[in-house]
Amino acid sequence: MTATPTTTALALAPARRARAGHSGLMRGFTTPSAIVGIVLIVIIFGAGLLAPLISPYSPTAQGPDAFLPPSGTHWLGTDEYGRDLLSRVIYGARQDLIVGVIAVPIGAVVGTLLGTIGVATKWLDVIIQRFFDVTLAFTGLVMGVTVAAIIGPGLAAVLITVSFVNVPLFGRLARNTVRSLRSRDYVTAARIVGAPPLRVLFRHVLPNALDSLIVQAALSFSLAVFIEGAMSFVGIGVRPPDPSLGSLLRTSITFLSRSPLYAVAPMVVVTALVLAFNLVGDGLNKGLLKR
Amino acid sequence: MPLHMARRMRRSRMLSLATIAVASAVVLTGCTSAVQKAESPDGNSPTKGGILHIVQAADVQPATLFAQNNPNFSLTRTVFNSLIDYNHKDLKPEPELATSWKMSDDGKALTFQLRKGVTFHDGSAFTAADVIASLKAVQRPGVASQTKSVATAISDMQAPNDHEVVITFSQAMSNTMDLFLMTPIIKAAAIDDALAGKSFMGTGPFSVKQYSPGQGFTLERYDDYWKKGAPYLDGVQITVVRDSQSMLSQLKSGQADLAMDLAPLDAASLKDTSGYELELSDANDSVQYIASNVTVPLLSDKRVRQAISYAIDRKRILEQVDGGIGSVASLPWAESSPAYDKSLVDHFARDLAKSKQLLEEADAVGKSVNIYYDAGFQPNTGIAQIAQFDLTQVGLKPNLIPLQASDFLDKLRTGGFDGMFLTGHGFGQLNPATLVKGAFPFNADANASSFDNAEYKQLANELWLSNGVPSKATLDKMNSFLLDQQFVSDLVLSTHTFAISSKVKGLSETMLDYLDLDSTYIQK
Amino acid sequence: MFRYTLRRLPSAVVVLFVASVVIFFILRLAPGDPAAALAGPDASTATVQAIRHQLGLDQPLITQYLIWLRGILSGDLGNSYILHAPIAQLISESLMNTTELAIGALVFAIVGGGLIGYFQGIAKRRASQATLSALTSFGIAIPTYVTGVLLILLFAVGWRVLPAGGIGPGIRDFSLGWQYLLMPAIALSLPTGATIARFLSASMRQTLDQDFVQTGIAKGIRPSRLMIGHVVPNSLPPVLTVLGIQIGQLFGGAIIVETIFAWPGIGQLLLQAVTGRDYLLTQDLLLIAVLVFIVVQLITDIVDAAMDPRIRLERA
Repeated sequence: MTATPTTTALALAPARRARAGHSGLMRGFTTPSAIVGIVLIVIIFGAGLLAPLISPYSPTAQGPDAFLPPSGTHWLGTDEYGRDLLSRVIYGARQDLIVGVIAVPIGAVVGTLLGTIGVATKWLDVIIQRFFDVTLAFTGLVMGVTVAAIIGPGLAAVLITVSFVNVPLFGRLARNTVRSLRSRDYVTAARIVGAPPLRVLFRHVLPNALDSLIVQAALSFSLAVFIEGAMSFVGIGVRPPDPSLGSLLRTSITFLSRSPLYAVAPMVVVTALVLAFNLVGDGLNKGLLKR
Repeated sequence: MPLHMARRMRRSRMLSLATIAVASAVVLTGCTSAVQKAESPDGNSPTKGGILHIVQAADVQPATLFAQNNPNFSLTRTVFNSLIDYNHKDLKPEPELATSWKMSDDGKALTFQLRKGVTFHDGSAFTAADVIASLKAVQRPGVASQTKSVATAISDMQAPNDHEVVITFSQAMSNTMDLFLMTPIIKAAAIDDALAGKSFMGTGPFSVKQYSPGQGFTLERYDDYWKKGAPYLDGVQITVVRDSQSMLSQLKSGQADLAMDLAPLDAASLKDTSGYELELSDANDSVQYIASNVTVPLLSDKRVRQAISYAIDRKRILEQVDGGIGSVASLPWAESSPAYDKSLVDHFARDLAKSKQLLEEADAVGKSVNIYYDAGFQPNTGIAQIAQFDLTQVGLKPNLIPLQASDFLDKLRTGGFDGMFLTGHGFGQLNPATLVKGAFPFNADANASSFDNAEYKQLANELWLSNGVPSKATLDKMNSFLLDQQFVSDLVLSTHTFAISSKVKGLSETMLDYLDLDSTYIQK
Repeated sequence: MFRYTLRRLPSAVVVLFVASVVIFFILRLAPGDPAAALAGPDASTATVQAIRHQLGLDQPLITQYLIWLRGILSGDLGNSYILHAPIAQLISESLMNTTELAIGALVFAIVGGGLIGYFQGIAKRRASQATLSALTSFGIAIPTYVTGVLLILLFAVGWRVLPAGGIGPGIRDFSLGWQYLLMPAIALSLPTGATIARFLSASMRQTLDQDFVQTGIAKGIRPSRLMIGHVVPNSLPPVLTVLGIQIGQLFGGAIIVETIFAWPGIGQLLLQAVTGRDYLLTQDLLLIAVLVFIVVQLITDIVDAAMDPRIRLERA
């Protein structure tokens, strides 16, 4: 990298700040609540990731033995079509893993880009802001209902919905953070020495906005789990016969009196997941604030 | 019904039915047949008064009053009457607004004598003009009816006097009377208002006091109802409760006395609950099926369609999805139908070896196929999942695609499925011609399977254009054709259900599943 | 101030207009046909075509859009295809039901969340603080569909004391109606209540650190009087702000609770409208949602501007 002494000197400032930021994040990750959250996430998403290896049966294998009570062969019993409930819960967690890993980053990247670009160009900013307004006006499930009506219910509808919901969240956050950072000394200095605005933005400003974006990512994961569950619950999410925590819960209502346990496992897992990501988000926030 | 009327009817020698189905045997342990209950009230004299609270999952659809449409079951026969009713066992017509009728020997001219002294709820007299206007409404292109093909075959209608209608048809048809069973008679001047949901002017036992779209109906006893002494009830409250579980809970909490068509497993759960009863409609016309678009390469081979039919475990669907309500089926006919053949019911008993062999012959192993279903109706989701699993077992790769009702119905009508589709049909209980001319999956002229087959059209016409009940030979030919072609695979012959509190007595329904509350009462 | 408001208006109108275009055309992209649903089973193509003609669905899309726009501008929301009733009436009826639910939930949230927040705010022992804090974290995290099913399991299936769903007689006969309201209102109130608790306790802790409290203690004012009379009122502003946001979210979250408990509210109406491709009803509902959001945004912006002159100048 060939850099003039001036830019090197300037680059030092953000670098140091970035380190400070990361240690703030580190502090956040080691708060008790974040540790509890991370452990829960590792357990549940670990199970989802390794589902083909650890789940005792195929989640879609049916049989005549419907509503078997929990036993050594079926730890959680079987469902109305004789499928192993434990396997279905594990594969259900896998759906959330897929949604979180794919849709949240898409929403984050698109949102951050849009929010950041807006800061640089004023007329674009106006358009993008209005776009965020309209997107925000649709709450998660209203957006989900609309998307599912157009492309049909399914995992794809969930992915699109979660991505869309996240765009304005990251977009506004990025915009606000970037705007406040822009008036900081080192950025002003970079602009004065004549660095191109976009370069300043992506090299100096954005890395420093990362902290708050990471906190938002944790909360967005929790939102993703919630929306996937809600869409599948309402019947516009993951398609049968694939299991999802939301659709398991929905189906269980029909059988609450016959087999109350049917509802309990998906309830516990989905709550634990949402809680876990909230805890991580809280922990990170605390860590950053203490800086 | 007074005896002399029944005798007169028999003398008129209408459409004598060749096959007479024996009393329905689909009665489950713990369930009671609606007809049995109506015929043998428990010796107590009926209690007068009271409001019957009905809950149902969907709002009445006034635009389809002339067609059989499930949400209208609670309204059509309570507010309106039709000209005739059917005997539930042999489909012999019985008098309603018509007291007698005579069909010419060539089957093309039908004369109805109308009941005198009948008034609409606004007090005006019921006359031949109302009958003619209602039938004309069915002929309109914008009005739905499964017996439309009969209505459009009417070439002339005359009213020699206020109480006589002469109807001329361009051809003799085997299902002519189905039209008059299905068509409610609406006051001539109020037909458009009825189809638009603005007013409901009929001659039935109850008048509409209030209609709140999306929420329900308040019905009031019509004191001048032509059937003297009926009804016993003071009124009926119909409430839309969109969820089966909520309907069940309203029934159990005493908020409702009757729940229309609970989800099958909810309905089945009442079998063991004292204080409640599950009445099964005698019509037995709720058939669940899976069908193929025969223009899709894979499904154009009838061996593949037969293999699919052999692969699906109908017994498991009956148990796990329908809670045991109904019976397995290979053909669309209910026992009341002249086409019903007990020996063919198990034709497609599950046979995996045969299924696999057929698939191998057709070189279809490992091929993938889409299965569309209407996800708005819970049992479809269950049947779809069982079918998907069973087809996987014989080496196909089925892919389930849930659709929303408006999308599904649209594709059903236009044949827009690029694979298989799964839903329900009715009309196995009436004259067979109504099914092959009016019920969508089987309609020989245009059906969702895009099954455009000259032999089928000819068979359907043979069935339809017979003067009186088609011959056994014709019906047998049709049955073996349907079994062989399998563009529609019937799976389970179920029925509509009425879950009631045990206090409700004397409930009855027509062969179209329309609630008949003429002799219903609530025991104190 | 007035001039600032005036300046923001055109942009709000533009957003609304763009939203109306997007809503209208996106909805028409969805496969399906309201006429097919209306015609019922076994209907012929001729029947469906005739219904399409009656509904005006056979006209060019642009014409249909302009007719819709003209209707809205003249204050006529039109009629629902499927429910055969004026849309204004349908919306106001279901909005009433949702409001009943939201008010019920709000009462639980304020009372429950307020109490927990208060005790968490004054809690001295670490253990009780941690317990209450865990409780609020849990309350925020637990999805409404989990709470709903759990409540049904407990109170409608296990211990049969409450009806599992429906609105019952509603407010017309509240002696019965409250039994129907109880479970959905509690399910809906949980996240809001927990949020209130969290903000109240945090705000109270800050207030407790302030000088006037120490002075009060020094002057010997009774602790309970000091709390109720001084600390709590001084801690309320941030709670009220968050409450404003939460009320909006209550209406958004109602859609799930309404589904679980078959509550005939605005969320159910929307689900039904979209599923049945009841175009006019869906368009009106979505546009109203956007309108409400824009108005709230506008008010927020204006309040912000009123309090901070820099915003007014910068955006000039």
